[in-house]
Order: sequence, then structure tokens, then C-alpha cells
Amino acid sequence: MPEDAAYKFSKRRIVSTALALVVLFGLWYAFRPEKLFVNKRVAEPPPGTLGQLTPLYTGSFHSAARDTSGRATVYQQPNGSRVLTVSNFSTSSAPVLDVILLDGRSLANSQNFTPSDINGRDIGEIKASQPQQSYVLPADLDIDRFNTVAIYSADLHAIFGTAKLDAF
Amino acid sequence: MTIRKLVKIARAVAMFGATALLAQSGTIVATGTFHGAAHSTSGRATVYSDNTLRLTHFKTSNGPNLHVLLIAATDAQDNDDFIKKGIERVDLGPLKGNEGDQNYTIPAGTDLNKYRAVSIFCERFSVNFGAAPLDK
Repeated sequence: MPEDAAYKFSKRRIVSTALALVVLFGLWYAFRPEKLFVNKRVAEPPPGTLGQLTPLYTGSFHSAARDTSGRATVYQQPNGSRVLTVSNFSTSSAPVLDVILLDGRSLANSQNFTPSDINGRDIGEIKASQPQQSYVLPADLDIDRFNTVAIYSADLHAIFGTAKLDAF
Repeated sequence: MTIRKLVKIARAVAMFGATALLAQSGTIVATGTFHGAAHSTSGRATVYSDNTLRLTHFKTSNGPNLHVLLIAATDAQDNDDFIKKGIERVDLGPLKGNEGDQNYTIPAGTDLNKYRAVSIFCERFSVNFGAAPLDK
């Protein structure tokens, strides 16, 4: 009967349409093609304890005249002053070691120099055996220019290691 | 008292203040920058002393079921499949957004000497979108 045939036809159509929709949904869910065009931007604040210190620059130490390792980081304190910290620090021991911030452009002969040869600012003494140390930086120091932390031994007249500071 | 001596004392005082401040607040434990060409990924991943992993200047391509992983390797290549390679991982959860600054909590007791890189991993297709080696 024609009525029956029409009924069957439409039932099959409903089933196949439903199946097609399920398959399409599955494909969409697996590939999520709209994500090719849709970006999701988030902007979470730094974790609570961090509010006090903002990292500005960081870099790893590389050995020069002696094995030297660790990280140098410049933080900004809430009062605006900047602090240089070395962490995980290790170098060869020497009677006196100085931390010098060097003008990155004057490092052609970085392993052996007289302090007058290069452009640098002495920040203070550093202990080879202490993994974590901090120094308050002079307010007028331009870190984009004096961007290399050098561990300098006046006695041996040598740079033990350097860390180039990159913007954080 | 010489000026040199005075400068030394002033430095010692300033250093003490700075060290005290650093002791009480979160400082950087390890950090590194993302690389990933196939699904261009960029930005910085940093572990802070309070067990937070923070992504900054972060950007990757959006995708299905992206997760932030710490992997037991020093780095990862584009499209690496850690499951196939049998690389251990710590899942820090779904990626909150494919752009922008975001924080994730690292489970207490996670050994960062073992898990030395961050990966943005597509769980649906087991593909590394981008990775950042964490240097101490």
C-alpha cells in the first residue's frame, strides 16, 4: 500500500538523519574545528605570595674561568627598588669574589680584563658557598645596558662565570 | 671610619632586608621559554617557590582537550606522543586558555629534578603542542 511505503520511507529517513547527526556531533566533538578560529584568553594575577616581588629579568650562569652555575634574577620590590638575587648558586671558592654588572656591549674579552677595560658596576661581594644571595641594585642602574652578571675574582684577575639577563 | 667601610655596612643592611623579603615570598625556582613550531607555542613557564606553575606571555593554538603536563624529560619535540614513548607525566589539569597569563598548582612532593619540562599536550590526539624546559 502506498501509505505504508511512505511511512516506511519517512521512518528510515528519520533514523538515518538521526544517525547522521550523531556522527556529525561525534566528529565535531573529536576535532572541535571551531577552535581553529576561536581563541580563549585568560589573565590570572600572579599567585598571592608573589604580589610583593615582580620578576623583571632572569638568566642562567655559565662557566668562564671556573665552573659556575645557578640563576640570576632581578625582582622589583613593592617600593620600586630592584633586587638582584642569585639562586641555586655555586662557583669555585676564592678569598674575595665580587658581583659586577657588566655593560653587555663591552664583553669582547670577557674572561680576562682589567676592571678599567670594561664598563661595569660593582654590586657587592658574593660567597661561593652560599646558594642564595641578594643585592639591592642602585636606582640609576640601566639593566637593559648592564645586562650581564659577572662573578669576578680580583685576586686571580678572572671572571669565574657570567649570566646574561633576559627580560622575564 | 672610612667611606669604604660605611658603604660595606650599608650594603650589608640592604642585603639583609632583601634576603628577608625573599625568604617570605614566592621566588623563582625554575623557568624556561616555550617552543613549538607545528602548533606555534610561545611564552614563559615558571615554577615559583609556593609550588605554582605560572605561564606568562603565553600563546598556543587552540585545540581539543589540551592539558598542562610536567614530563619526566628535559625537553620535548613537536608532536611528541609521551604515552607511546612511555614518558612519565604529572597532569596539572586542562589548559585554562590558549592565550594569556595563568597559574597551575603543582602537587606537593613532585620531584622537579625528575620532571624538568612543561608540555601543552592534546589528550584527544596524544600530541605535544609545545614544551618549555625548566632550568633552575
